[in-house]
Amino acid sequence: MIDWYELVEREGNSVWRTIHRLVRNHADADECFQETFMAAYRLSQREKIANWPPLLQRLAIARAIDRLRQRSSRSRREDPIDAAQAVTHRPDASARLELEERAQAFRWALAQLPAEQAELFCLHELEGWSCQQVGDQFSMSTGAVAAQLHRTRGKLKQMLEPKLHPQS
Amino acid sequence: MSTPDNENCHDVVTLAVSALQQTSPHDDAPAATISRTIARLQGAVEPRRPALLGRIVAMPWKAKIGTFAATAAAVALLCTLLSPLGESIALGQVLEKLRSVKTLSFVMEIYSPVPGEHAPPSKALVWIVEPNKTRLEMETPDGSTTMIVNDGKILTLVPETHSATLMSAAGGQMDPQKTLNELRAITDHDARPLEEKVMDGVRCQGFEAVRGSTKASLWADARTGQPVRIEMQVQDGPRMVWSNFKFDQPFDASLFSLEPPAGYTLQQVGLKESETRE
Repeated sequence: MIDWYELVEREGNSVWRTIHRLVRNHADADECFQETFMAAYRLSQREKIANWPPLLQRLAIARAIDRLRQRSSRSRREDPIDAAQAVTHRPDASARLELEERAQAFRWALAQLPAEQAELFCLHELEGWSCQQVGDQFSMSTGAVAAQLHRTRGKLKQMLEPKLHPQS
Repeated sequence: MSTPDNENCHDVVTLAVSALQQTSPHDDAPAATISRTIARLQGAVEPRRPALLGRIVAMPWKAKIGTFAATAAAVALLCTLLSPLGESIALGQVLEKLRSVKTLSFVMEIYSPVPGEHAPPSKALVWIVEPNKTRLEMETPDGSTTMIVNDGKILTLVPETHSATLMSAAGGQMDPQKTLNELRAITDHDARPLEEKVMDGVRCQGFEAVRGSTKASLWADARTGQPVRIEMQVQDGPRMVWSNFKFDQPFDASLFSLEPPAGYTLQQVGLKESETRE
């Protein structure tokens, strides 16, 4: 018998940070958070879950990517970033703006990728999963994961370069 | 394939990933989000009961009697535990919401302490950010006043006269955050349960607590424990009602700025030289 209260209390902060980092909007993060645990519940009805943290992280990433794609398809020019967050960390105004611009461009680019590619990339690059861990979750070989990551980087580069013009 | 183009690709993508990580908030899941999620999960789990009943119906008679007896015992135990109080949620759950909240806004009504006087209450909108920021916008028959408490200082703004006063917040000015901290300190020993009531269509469980010269009634959603209404009566003093709670909403930092709006005349009272600038 799964103690859902205990699970939400134990894993909630980690799930929240994973989602909030990507969607960067309190209301969207709130919905994705609930949907993550509801998806986990539905999955637990079909199969026995041996290891909750990676499953919840994967579900959270998937919900957050979905939300980014929905926003993108609605052609919103700007994401509604929470005002409180926008003033939280402030190294200095222009550096902050530049970081925000890059982060925003990255969110937009993620939303243009096929969902599974974006999920796989986020788990590896943002959550620090190894290729082996990603492969276990997606039923792929380590080599296939590495190749997929390489292709995804290439696509992201094509999308991001015109937007960010890095000085290299 | 390590071409210059490929390296550039890594640069721009790595920069973007790094920017996302650097601008990420590191906050915890809001208590309200957790409670909504748990409520949804409970809602999802409960419809499974007919399947359980179906299985009981299909049981042989001996097993049915055994199950029935065990269920009756469990229900009796539950009734024993709950009957002296009769509440569907515990006071601890309600207080936990108040203790764990990071930002809170609500409507505060203050009723005149004069017996027999039925003047309409003064109304205020209150925003609180833990641990030390409060904004209070009050409408009284005499006009409106805004008070901002931030980092040990209090700024009072009077729009009618365009005057602003900055002073030390120490010394008992009316600060809802202090009242909130007093509410948080309530224990089971201070409180007794009240009859359930429906408020704004929500079934609410009440608790009454007395601390010092203040009597407080806390009304919370009987299903989730989310506070709905808090009433406080100070002996020989005003009665206050807090309602329309919003938990852990993001607030604009400018709400708590100690900089008076343009056009206001600022007067500083009793602040040391080092305290006059943020």
